[in-house]
Amino acid sequence: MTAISGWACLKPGRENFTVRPEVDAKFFFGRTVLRDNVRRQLRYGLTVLGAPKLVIWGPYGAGKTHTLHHIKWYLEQEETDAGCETRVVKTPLLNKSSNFAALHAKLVDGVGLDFVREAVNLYVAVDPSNWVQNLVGLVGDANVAHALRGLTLFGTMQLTAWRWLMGEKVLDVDQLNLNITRTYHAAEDLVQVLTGIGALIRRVHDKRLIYLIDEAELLDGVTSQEAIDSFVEAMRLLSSDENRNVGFVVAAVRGTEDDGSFRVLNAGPVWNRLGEQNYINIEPLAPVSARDFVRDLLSELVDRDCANGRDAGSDLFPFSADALELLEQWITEDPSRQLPRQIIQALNNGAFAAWESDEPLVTGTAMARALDF
Amino acid sequence: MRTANKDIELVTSRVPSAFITRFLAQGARWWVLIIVSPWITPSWSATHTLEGVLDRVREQAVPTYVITRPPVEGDEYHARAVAQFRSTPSVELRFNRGLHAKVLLAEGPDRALGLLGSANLTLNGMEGVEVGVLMHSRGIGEVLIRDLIDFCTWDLRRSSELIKSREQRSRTE
Repeated sequence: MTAISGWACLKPGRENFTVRPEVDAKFFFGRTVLRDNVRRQLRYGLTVLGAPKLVIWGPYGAGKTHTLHHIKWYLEQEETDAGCETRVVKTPLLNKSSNFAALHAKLVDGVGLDFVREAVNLYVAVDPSNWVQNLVGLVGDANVAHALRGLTLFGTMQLTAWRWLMGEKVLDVDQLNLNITRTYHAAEDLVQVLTGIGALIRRVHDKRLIYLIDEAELLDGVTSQEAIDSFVEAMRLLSSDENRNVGFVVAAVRGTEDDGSFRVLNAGPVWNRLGEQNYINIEPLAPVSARDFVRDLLSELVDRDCANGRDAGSDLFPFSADALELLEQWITEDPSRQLPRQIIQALNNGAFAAWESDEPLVTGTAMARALDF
Repeated sequence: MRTANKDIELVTSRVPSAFITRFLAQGARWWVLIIVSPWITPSWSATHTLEGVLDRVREQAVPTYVITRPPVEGDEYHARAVAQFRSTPSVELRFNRGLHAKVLLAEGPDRALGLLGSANLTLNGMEGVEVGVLMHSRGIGEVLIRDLIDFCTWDLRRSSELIKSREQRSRTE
């Protein structure tokens, strides 16, 4: 029996209709309004704010992860002269008293020791005289500058310096050797580390560091007011106009007013700095948009030559028109189905049902069977 | 004549003042100002001057993007206006020789404002026969303002020659 990918004329490398955010980052299926709005706010951020600063709300399965990867593609591949160095970072698991330090460690690690060390080396190469003092001026903090300098040292000291930048406590003697006066744990200090690294990258690469932070609904695990305050303070500082080198796009499931993610990302000091237009909601797909979504998806995933040989003239192959009409009815019936993840799953189930029965197309009957509809 | 609905207004008299008056309104706070005008003079009326606008820009350190034509010999007014922009820290100045569009945009924490029309930011633009559409941050007005900010700060700005970058910027709360 032919594999389902061959039966459905899928392009090489495709096993089904599932969209893979990293591989398919270039595409933004069926949502041109949303895509254009996101892109416009990114451009606004780059121009007016110095760096994009966005919050993206959306339910599970709405395509937030895909949107973040599309933003990465857009900033690095489409707008190649925008000058952005992006990092996709998944929010770590957080407990009730986790503060910003937990996320900070992942953000620093996300940039990468090798990348930051190389940036320091490039900085030194440009002006070797008095470079440490100049670095203090650039990053705006002597301890951060000395830790960055530590990355150029041999042996374990560079790892110690890196751990310090990640917010870890290091031995007093190591701290002394690195010429660092104290551990940084407060949000204000940790943001200084991030903006310091951002300033360095801006100087040597002429790029802004843009964090694409996924699954920020994990902030809902944080309940302690002190810990929430730590995140709010960090977001407030990163949202500030003074920070022009480190941007962010944070994606989260929008919770209630009591949830940690909402309390942090929608906090007054953050909201006031970002402005309403930098909060973007990914709404469920209306049935008409769902149709565009499916058409866009099929046009990208299905090999047209192969499909024409099987069902000439149809741009819906391997689906029949009545199968997709049924899918639309199924979507319309329950708003929770109006999500890309649900629709793709329905397409996969429909294709499997037809393939399994050795039918040439996914007909309405096969789709009804698959959806139990 | 001025016709109005809640989102946009047609302005047919003293067109630039519809924007300038609101920009200078007491208590108005702004995050960004965008001036796109082929020709600009230092004074537009007895009460409205470029220096008055730049005072507000300096007070709030408003990031300001100016796109205009390069001064030509004999046009000392435009040259003086350009010199004023050059000496204001938070102003980014760009020249575009083919510029014909006239757009004024401002955005702040409480509201956004836009003016699109035929009038240059000049004395003649204020007193001549001109027409413009004043946009408020509501409904279609907001949509137009967003699209115009995007066009002016991205496509148009990037196709214009950078003369002076911003040295100071701050987004007021």
